[in-house]
Amino acid sequence: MSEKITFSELVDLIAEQSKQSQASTNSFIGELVNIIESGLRKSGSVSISGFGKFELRWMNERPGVNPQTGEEITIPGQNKVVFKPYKALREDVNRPYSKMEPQILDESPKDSSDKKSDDLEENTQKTVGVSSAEADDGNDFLIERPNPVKGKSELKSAEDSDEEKKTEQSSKQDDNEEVKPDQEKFDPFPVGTGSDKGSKSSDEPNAVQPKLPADQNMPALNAGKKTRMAKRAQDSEKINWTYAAAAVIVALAIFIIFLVSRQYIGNDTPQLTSEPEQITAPVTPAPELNETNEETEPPASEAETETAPQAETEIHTVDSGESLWSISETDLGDPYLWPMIYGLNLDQIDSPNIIPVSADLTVPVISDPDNLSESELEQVAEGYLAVYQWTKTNNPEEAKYFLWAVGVFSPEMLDLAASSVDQADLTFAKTR
Amino acid sequence: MTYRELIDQLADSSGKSKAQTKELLEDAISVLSSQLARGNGVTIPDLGTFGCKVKEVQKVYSPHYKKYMLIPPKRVVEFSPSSVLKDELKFVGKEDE
Repeated sequence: MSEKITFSELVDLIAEQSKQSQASTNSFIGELVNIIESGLRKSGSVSISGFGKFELRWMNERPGVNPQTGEEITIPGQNKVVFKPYKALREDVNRPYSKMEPQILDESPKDSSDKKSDDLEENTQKTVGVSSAEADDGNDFLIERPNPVKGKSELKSAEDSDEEKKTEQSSKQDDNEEVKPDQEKFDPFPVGTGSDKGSKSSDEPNAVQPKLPADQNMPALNAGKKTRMAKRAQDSEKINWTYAAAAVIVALAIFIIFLVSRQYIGNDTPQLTSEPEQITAPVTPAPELNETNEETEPPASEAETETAPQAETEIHTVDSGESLWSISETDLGDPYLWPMIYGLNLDQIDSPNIIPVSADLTVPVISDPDNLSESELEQVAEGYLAVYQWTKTNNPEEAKYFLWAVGVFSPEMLDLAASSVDQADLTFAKTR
Repeated sequence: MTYRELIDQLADSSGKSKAQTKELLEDAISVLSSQLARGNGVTIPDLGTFGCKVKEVQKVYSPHYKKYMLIPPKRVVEFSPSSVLKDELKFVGKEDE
């Protein structure tokens, strides 16, 4: 990147290009430099077409500090030579990054943090460096520096600027909250709101690692996620979760009333309240599975009972904040396939709702989440069966939904498991 | 000083025709540009150092969208004048003060 070539190498290259001798090229450049200098002296600017413009800029006298002694000095006014590249050169030089576009972040200034470098390390997802706050911080640094001459007055101004900062920020917050409903209008991604989040998360690592030249596979990464399922998943994540939680609680209450005579009532309610999110998510959206699976399911002709050959898998190391649902969404392309991961990692995961951070999970590689192969469907069904069994012991009221999902993905699997499951759940799964 | 004036003076001092000078200058500039585009810096004696620098991702507030934006990394040309040039031109135009 930041390599350098020597002047003589440059002269060689120019001589080659212009078919002149190196000596004459060398003297030509010497003359060019002289003329640039005299031009700057006379008119203060020298323009070279297609390259850039050299200019003199007068810097006023300003206070400074001798970095070695810490002594207060005054830097006298002087000229500075600046070079301003023209567009052609700018574009040439920026070519590796030219495909990257600015990205609008959804975060509001409220959750601002003050250090930009932190943000970059944290994938820029969690916090936002406030540009104004950064600027203010800069001021603070300047002001905090020992400044014996103007110490008092500047301290005062520091307080002032602090106050300004506060008011400024609060007004900004207001602005942002007002504007929120319009967010989607300004959205730069043509993908639609549903898959926005996905596309962002895949973009950002690229943006953060500037050593990578502009990535052309960014769109490809996103492409897999633009499925209806993913959209629906996102939507339901955003909107339905609160409703879903309420709905499940109501449904549970009804079931408790209706199934008073049954023996399973015992131990579930505390369980549910402790894990509201992840339980509700897989359960309530389940009915939506119906249509997509009717479309994609191959005719149930094969009666293979062998366990699916696990063609390709990869290792996913769990980060803090991830769930099976989210891993499935990012790695498999469809959040509803999360039991697949659960089924493959029973040795590491006990509760599907709680996965250990930094565990290395085996994650299947799925090329097309919309058209699962027979063996993949069976794998998903197996996963759901495992989830059913776990739920049956921990939260029996909800277990039948997972059993139903087993049947949706693979009716054969449901038949096979028929003997080992609760008959009431089985009839529910079959008649639904 | 415009490009034309530059070529005129350069032709004068090098004793070549203007057309020839222009061609030479264009060759020199295209080589220099292409080296910069490849990320190679170069120091030209008495003039200064051209270099390439990658600006990291920045987060800025966009008043238009009223939101924060990520500005992608960018590679830019840097020029730092040689000390000879700097000193020569330090007080040009301000000598009378």
